[in-house]
Amino acid sequence: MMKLFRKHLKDFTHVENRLPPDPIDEPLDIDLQRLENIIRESLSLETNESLKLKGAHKNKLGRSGNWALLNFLQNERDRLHKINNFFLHKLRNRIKYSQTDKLLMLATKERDEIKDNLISELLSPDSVLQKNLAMIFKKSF
Amino acid sequence: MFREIEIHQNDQNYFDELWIKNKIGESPHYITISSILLKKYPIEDIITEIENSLHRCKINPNFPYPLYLLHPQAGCTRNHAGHPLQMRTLPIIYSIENLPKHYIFKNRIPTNREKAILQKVSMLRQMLRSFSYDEIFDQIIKIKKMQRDYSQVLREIDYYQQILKK
Repeated sequence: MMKLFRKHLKDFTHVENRLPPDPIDEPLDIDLQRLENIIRESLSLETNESLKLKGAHKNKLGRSGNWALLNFLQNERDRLHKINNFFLHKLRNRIKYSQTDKLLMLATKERDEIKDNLISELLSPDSVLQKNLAMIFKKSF
Repeated sequence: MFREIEIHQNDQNYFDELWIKNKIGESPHYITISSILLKKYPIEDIITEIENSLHRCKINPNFPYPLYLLHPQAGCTRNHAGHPLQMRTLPIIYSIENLPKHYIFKNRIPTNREKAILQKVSMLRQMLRSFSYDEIFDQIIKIKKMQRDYSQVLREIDYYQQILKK
């Protein structure tokens, strides 16, 4: 019995050697990168290209973030300098050498003079106001 | 850059210490009121107390850096007189998103160049903190009033001159 089995086994190994090689052992002619991308797309995952793009965008943001701090500090320095200059110099000079009160005094004086002139002119018998008033009185009474 | 300050008590001494502890005026801050405190006191009283404390400590909520009060119902809450809460000296906002974007950026370790500018900024900031803003604003209001009076008188003169020409 054992002899018979051995003989069959021998025959089988002989046949197996004659068979063509298994296709699994052969190198596959498939673009693995493309396959990975297709699987990623089908599973709605991010592809390598999109990841690369995202990375580039992140780097860009990171770089711009660096400049953002510097830009902020420069703007802040200018802003504080302007506020400081306004409160410390411009406003003080404005208060110390203010001309508004003198101008206001002159303008008030001028206004009073003009008002006096206007009243004296309106009170004269030949003035337009007097004539109009006289006309109204004549018509009314 | 904004820093949060949470208020747990409605006490004058507590507020005075809080401003010193958090270095108000050296960077922008926003105040949040704890819910326990809001249950105890009306919002109007808390704001009045904060404003009194700021006035006493000679801190201006706008210069050199702003100090905001974050209150979610700021838009609809009204005071005893019926005026909205925004009519206060303390700026009130109802959401963190309403904070000015100018001060919002990612913090990181500064470079040497940035450190040099930062030193200059901190020096200017100290100078600005030393000003007495109440006196300055009183003087500005005085100048403004005088200029308006001058403008009014000039307008009056112009009117009289027009009558005289006729």
